[in-house]
Amino acid sequence: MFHQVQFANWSAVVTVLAFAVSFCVFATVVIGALRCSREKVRHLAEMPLEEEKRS
Amino acid sequence: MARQTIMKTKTIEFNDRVVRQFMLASVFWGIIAMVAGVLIAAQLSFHVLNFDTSWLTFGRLRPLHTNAAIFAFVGNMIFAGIYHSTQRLVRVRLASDFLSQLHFWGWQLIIVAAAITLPLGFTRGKEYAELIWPINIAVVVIWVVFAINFFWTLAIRNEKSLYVAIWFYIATIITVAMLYIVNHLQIPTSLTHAYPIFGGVQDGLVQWWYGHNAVAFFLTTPVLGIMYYYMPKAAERPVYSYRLSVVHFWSLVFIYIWAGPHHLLNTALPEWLQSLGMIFSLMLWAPSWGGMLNGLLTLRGAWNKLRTDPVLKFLAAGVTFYGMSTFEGPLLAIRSVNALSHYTDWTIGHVHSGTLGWNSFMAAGMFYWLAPRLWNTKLYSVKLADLHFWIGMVGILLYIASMWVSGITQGLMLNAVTPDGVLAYPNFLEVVNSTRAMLHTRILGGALFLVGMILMAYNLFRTIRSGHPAVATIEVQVPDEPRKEGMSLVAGFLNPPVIYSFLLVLFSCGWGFAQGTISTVSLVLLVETALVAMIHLGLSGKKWNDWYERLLESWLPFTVLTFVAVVAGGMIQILPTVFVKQSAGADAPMQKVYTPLELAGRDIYVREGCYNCHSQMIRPLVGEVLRYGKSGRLSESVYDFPFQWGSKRTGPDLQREGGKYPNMWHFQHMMDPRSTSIGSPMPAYPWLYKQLTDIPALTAKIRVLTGFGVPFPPRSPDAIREACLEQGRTITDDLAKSGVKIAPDKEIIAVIAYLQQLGKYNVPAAPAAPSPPVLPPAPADAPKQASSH
Repeated sequence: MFHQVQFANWSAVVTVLAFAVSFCVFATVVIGALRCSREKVRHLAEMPLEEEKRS
Repeated sequence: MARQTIMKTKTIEFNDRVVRQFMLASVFWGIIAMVAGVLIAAQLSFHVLNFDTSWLTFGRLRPLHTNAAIFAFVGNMIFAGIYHSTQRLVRVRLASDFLSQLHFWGWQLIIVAAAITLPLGFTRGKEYAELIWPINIAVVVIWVVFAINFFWTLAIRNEKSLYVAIWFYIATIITVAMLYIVNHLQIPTSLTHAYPIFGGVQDGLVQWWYGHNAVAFFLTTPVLGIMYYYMPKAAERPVYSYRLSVVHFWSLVFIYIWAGPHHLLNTALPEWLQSLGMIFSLMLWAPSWGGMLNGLLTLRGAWNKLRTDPVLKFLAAGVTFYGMSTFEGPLLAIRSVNALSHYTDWTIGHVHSGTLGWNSFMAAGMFYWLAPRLWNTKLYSVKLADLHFWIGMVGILLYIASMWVSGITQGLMLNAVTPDGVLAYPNFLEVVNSTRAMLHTRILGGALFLVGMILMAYNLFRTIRSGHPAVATIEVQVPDEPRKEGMSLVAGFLNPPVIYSFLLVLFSCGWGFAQGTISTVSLVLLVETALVAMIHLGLSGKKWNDWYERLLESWLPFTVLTFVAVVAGGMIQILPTVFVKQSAGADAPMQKVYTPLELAGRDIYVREGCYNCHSQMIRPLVGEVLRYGKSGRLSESVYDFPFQWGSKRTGPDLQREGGKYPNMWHFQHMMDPRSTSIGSPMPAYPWLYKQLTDIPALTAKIRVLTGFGVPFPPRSPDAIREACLEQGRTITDDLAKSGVKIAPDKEIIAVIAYLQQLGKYNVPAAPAAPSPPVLPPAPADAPKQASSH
């Protein structure tokens, strides 16, 4: 019984902490991506379209 | 005065040799994987196709099929796509030709080793992680070679920015490494056998954390990277929304890793983990569909090309299947839906809509686009490619539709209970036989898809013959001095946005979790930090995004950031289960320690791949409890290394099989399943009646398991042998009553011993009644009290 209570509390705290850390990374970079400059986005989006020479 | 950078023009010749090699290997292994798939599908309908031969039975070939499809077919395909697109996106040749070749040949050697060892019965008994430990080490070494080659290429690149496809590749490399290493932690008992260090529920959770994320980070993220490169290439227009692609990436990295427990819904897994898995699975709907729509909308203004361009046909259909299967996945992760679908063919249909529809079609689209360019020629036949598309499409639809019908039928029939409270279909075989037509349809669908693959191989072969290996080059402007990374690793983390974000999270947790003064102080600090961050960024004139835009040009901090996100999500599922045993409570029935003979029988059970068709986990559902007995508890599998909960019930659950049937029934059943179970699709195991149990190997096995904490009584090798033979003789004596004579050291005796102990547990003794308090002896002159009786 004692272990069960300890386990549940501990896991809940760690779960929320892990979620908070992950969400922090997620939110930081997503906000960054959404606010990325238009020129940068255009440059990045067109990167695959560059042609190469073949022989 | 700033020094002006002098630029010079440099011609870069790409290393496409390794791309060609991986592409051809993918086509070859893809056909092998699908031949194996059609064969094992046919075995489920026609048991004679097991040929009563050990290395051709379903239990051994099914792992061969799954490993070949995932690691050989898709593995080679993603390596081809990653090496081809990365060189173009970062405008540099692969860092090392030697490492590229080592990667290619090492990977093929691993596949060959798997193709030999799996049919021979060398297995770890964990789905998609069956390969034995020496091959595991080879996989890790070759993956490291791949990682070095990839990151070295990024380090010497001539393009500052990292396109989103590169991010997907980075996430793949680091996450697969983490998953693979953790799920393959094991202690060898011999050159070909090892026990995983996790047992019971811990092993189950680690296994499905790996299994689910192998789908996520081996079959999905690298193919999404490929989508974000080849879709714009084929459509000749940029991706619909680059910003959406970034949100897609981070959402997947953030959410996917948490969703593994949905593979163990309604089992004895702790409730909170099941809820965690379900919620995060549902959250996956949004980014998955965002990614699908982003891929499809890239075709805006180019939809007309779908009529004539087989590449776009395959890519568009592949992305659509991505959307469909990522809709179905979260649906199946809802506990009530999962109660119906789990252990049935529905899951099989779901998996194949992903591998055939998403992975194979994306591979075909990429190969049809690549082959003419890699061999500097034209595609041999567009019509043949179109035919491949339509045959493959019909094949997939037949496959998944039949599995839907079959799976839902199985789920409904197995759980059906009459108003009288008894099972409506008590005979398991009645359910099996009711889905026969669907199983036949599945064979047809798989065979059609295989024909399509063969057509593609022929088309590519003729294309290659008409051309020659092309030399691809580009000209780049490079500075006369080495380019510096946009951001160092230290700068990546010690900068205002990251520090402020960390503090905000820290104080939020302090406010939320702590109590009293600490909570109040945390709240004050939280508000202050937010204000300071705004003032600091405002006064310095820097934008939050300065950091982010530099991060886009820096692979190392970016990689570490991705790693932090996946580690946080992963460890939270693994670490708490270390304490699960204690949480079971004192009243739980504990699993009995296996006798040496039972342990030997268990290892044979694992070797033959019985877990591919039989589960050992009764869920707390009315139908299951009526059919199999009390629902499973965590403490009942604590000594199971590896766990054997299973994921599919082609046959019934075996968790409480022990004692249901006499020894003679099992003896006959394994020799000829139809003799005891009319209509059973189970293969016969005649070799178990000839081969001897490997008793000498038990010494090392017991020593390793004892090291894991399994309380085996100390025994010498001779005592182990004697214990095996003694228990074996009790079974053979019983069989002799039915006129069967067999030696006690045959493998079948060990298997019977194992099956007969399933479901037998040590029930803890009831707590003793409290003893009466011991009173000090009364003084001799004390007055005597009247008795209450």
